[in-house]
Amino acid sequence: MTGGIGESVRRPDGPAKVRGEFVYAGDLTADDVLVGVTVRSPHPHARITRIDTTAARATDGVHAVLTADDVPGDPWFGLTMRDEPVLAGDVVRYAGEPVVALAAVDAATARRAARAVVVEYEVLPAVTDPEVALTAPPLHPQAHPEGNVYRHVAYTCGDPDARGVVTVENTYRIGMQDPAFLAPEAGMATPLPGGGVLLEVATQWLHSDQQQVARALGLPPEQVEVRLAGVGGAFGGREDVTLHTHACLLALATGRPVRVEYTREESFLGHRQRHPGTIWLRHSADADGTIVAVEGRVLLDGGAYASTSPVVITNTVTLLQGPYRVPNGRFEGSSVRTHNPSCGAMRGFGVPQAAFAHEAQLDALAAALGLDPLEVRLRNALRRGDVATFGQTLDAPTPVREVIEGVRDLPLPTGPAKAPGGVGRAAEGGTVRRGVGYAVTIKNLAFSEGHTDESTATVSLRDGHATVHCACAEVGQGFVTVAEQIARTVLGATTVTVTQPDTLIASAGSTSASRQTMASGTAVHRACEVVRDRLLARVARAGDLDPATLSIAGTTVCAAGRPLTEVADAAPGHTVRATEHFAHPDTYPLGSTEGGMYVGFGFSAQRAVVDVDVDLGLVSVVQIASCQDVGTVVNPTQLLGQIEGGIVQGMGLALMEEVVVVDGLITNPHFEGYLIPTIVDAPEVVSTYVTDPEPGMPHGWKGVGEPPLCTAVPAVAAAVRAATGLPLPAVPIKPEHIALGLGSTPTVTWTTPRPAAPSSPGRAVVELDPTDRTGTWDAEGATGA
Amino acid sequence: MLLAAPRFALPETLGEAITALADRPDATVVAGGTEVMPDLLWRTRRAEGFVSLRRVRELRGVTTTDDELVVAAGTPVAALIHVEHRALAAAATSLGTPLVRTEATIGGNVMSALPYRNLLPALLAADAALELTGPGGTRTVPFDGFVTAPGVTAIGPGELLTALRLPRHRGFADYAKVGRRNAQFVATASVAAVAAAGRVRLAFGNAGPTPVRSDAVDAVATALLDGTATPEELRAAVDAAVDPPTDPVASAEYRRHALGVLAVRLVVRAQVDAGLGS
Ligand SMILES: Cc1cc2nc3c(=O)[nH]c(=O)nc-3n(C[C@H](O)[C@H](O)[C@H](O)COP(=O)(O)OP(=O)(O)OC[C@H]3O[C@@H](n4cnc5c(N)ncnc54)[C@H](O)[C@@H]3O)c2cc1C
Repeated sequence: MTGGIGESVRRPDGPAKVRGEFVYAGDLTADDVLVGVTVRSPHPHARITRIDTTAARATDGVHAVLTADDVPGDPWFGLTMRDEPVLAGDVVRYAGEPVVALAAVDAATARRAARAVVVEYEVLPAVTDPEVALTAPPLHPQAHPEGNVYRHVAYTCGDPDARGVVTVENTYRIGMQDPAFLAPEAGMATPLPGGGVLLEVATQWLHSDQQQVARALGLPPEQVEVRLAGVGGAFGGREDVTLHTHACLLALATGRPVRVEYTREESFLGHRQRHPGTIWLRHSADADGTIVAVEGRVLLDGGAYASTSPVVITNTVTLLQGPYRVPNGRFEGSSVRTHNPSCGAMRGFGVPQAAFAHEAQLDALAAALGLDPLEVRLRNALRRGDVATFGQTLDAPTPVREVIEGVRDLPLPTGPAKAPGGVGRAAEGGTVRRGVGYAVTIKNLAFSEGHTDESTATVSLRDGHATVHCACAEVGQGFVTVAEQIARTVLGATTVTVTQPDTLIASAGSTSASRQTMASGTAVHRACEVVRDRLLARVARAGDLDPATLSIAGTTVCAAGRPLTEVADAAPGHTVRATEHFAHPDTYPLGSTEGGMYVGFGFSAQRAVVDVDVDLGLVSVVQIASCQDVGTVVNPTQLLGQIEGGIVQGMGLALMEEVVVVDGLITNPHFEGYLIPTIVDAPEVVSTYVTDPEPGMPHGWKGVGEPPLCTAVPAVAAAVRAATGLPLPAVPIKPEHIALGLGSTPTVTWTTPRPAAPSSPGRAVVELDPTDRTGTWDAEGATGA
Repeated sequence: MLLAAPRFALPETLGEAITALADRPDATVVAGGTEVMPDLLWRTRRAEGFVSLRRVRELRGVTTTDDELVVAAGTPVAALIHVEHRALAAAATSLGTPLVRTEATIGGNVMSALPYRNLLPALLAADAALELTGPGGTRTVPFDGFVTAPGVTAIGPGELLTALRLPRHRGFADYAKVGRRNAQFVATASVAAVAAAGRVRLAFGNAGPTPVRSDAVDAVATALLDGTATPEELRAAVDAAVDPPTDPVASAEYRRHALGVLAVRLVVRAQVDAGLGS
């Protein structure tokens, strides 16, 4: 059997991508197509006093100029709160917010018309400090009259005031990372007979787009057909609606197909970034490093509109404990509305922030106690059967110890290293110091807290050719390959076609949360099993055999283990088809006694080796060794792709990637100023795996896409700390943080041990009254970074 | 509307180029286009027509005389990587990417005149002179002082930069820059050094609005080379000579620090090269 589960099957879209022949969303075109562009607010906060589109409308070749008044349905949209206007009508709340959408015969005409649109603003003060926003009057009273907090999460477990012999505490900061996918947002909307519209778009979640667009258009969802267009990277940045509704409005207004493609700058302005945040953490431990209690507080800047801010904050707060046993704790956090760019999903979804902070703390704890960093981690490692601080029992494999031991035993790099500073050749004549750092993380997999996590697939088989139809968005992660592998393994198919995802089939959910092999892969697997059973039943009937004796091995149907016929010849000309649905077991909100918040978890450990030019603050990441809990290896090459990509994206956040926002304005909305690692920066990656099958999943597979990023951020930071001896409590670590020694050192306090009060409520989760906030940052003795 | 001359001129000789520019005083000169084209795309520049230098053969090539290295202004940066002058070669090597270096020209880098451009400190440390050619003929001016403000030079109307003349130098010369990643980056700060006859000449990039050098710095650098000054003294001299900006990439404080560190390192390299150092 070739091409099945476990093999490095090549991507079906690989050759076209390598040759430059793959059709990306930006390549879409049609007869009579118009080009749509967006007029955006230059201000982070302003009242619109006048919009005059007369001159734009009068421009030759312009076919439609639309404002908020032209939105026929719900003027508000959003993934969670519906607080974002389709087009701003009265107030703009971030710089880059769409105000007018227009369509013209070509891009130059459309851009000229856009410049002819007159929008007058009364500039209002912008609240850009999330600390200030916490208590400021509501920034968006129409949608959110209660205040600016998207969600406040607070809980305790055990006795948070229990103490060991030492506490370490510090405040950590994480910058705003951009998904920085290579193909900017693009799509094309085409009016359909009967008043509907077809939207072909580069997206992560077709059915969410369909719902949101239909609502804005005032159409039933089935009148909006969404079809996936070629996606050039996503990383969470395509989970929200951007140009989708505008393109559809323009198509319906003009009766012609309309294509929209963002410029790089618009891409930075238009999509969601990773939440920047501040995290205060205090760990208390015994002399042998056993964690006694953890207290933490998180503040994430959600920006102007909610997007997934209410969900992201829960991940950050609950996973502050890291992959460690924490019997006593107090955790709290908010995501808050400001006039900064909106933040939402990005690979890791709130966990990289937590991981950066908790891993810095573990190292600080080890240093305070004079222990080896790995020893402290091993001593506290979560195990199967443990109960997390948020009340969930870890009832699946929890190989924390195994992943740590997996990296610990890998050989250190021996070859010549690339100098810090690279091609600038700054390090020659200076001193370079090597540092080694470790990090271990826990990442929740799939949707959480009661959000349905499901998928549906239709599989048909005829003469050995299988066709798979599923709404799972292929964004580069390789679902198309995995679906093909499943059909070969289960059905013995000789060839497989995975059709382009669309909304003619039920939702597959978002391609995010490391979830699609688990959800859509399992739906495909189930559909294949039903098709197989139907095919075998048919063969049994035809040959008067007992279907229970039939099976498929490779591409052959066997009876009692002996070859009977090829799958391709088993039912000539006959199509066997099945549609199957898969949903994970239910999850429950934080604090629920009915069940856990999360579907499952992935664990990962990494060791980073860096060379640092300490005087200049330049870093070269020499090697990252990784050991990850992956359930099973479905496709070795694609798995390595996820590990390498996640590591490079994580080191990007650790060392250079930051959307710099000054007074609400992005100062670097371009790849000259927003730096992502180049191949010269990328380290050698050594990747090993723990394969302990995930219960309930075919072959025991589980999500793998996010953990490598979550772990790389703290691992690189730890290695740079080891090389420099500096605390480095903020990422990205800038050269000046190292060269000038900026950043506060963790506070270490020796304490009198105090066991948990016997009356403390065991490990049950207790939701604090959201107003019962546990002091201020200052009151907790935390100092700024 | 009919234009007196087509908006786009593609001259084949220097004479044609000068005439084409005279016919279109508002046109933008394009050499490699690696700066003009992105600027147009980002709308940080408007153009009323173009005079492209791509076909002007006389503007390409590197020649040497007994005492000068002469680089025609349209020579691609990729062709500088192996030139005799090691400061220019080093600055060319770390400019952009292989693709960019193939198109980008030395003349475009000089005329871009932004303080962080790679070749400027190298040319200043090399004590280069510029050949400017206009309808009235050719004049030669020192590079020192040619850049008057970020993006602004002393070139006259109707003139083209036609060549760069560097005193021949086979001894130690080098260039280093720091940035926020290890390839394809704009210099946060940069330093070039040329050592000749026991004297060191340093020049600094992104150390002020225009390329910076100072006799006082060179005196201390030369003393450091001799072993009669300390690294701290050179860093103090650099600190007094530079006035770098603060921006979202780095603080002025970091730039001052890095310029001093790089200056010391380049002198250390000169010592090693001269067999004086460790
Ligand atoms: C991806 C990328 C990376 C880059 N990296 C770097 C880098 O690391 N370091 C760096 O310094 N630069 C870098 N640049 C900028 C640019 O490549 C260089 O400045 C290059 O040397 C410009 O040369 P050019 O021939 O392409 O200039 P053009 O874009 O053709 O012209 C630049 C300017 O010079 C004028 N000009 C050109 N030739 C003449 C002439 N003969 N006479 C009069 N005026 C003239 C033009 O009118 C224009 O104002 C990068 C650019 C890109 C796109």
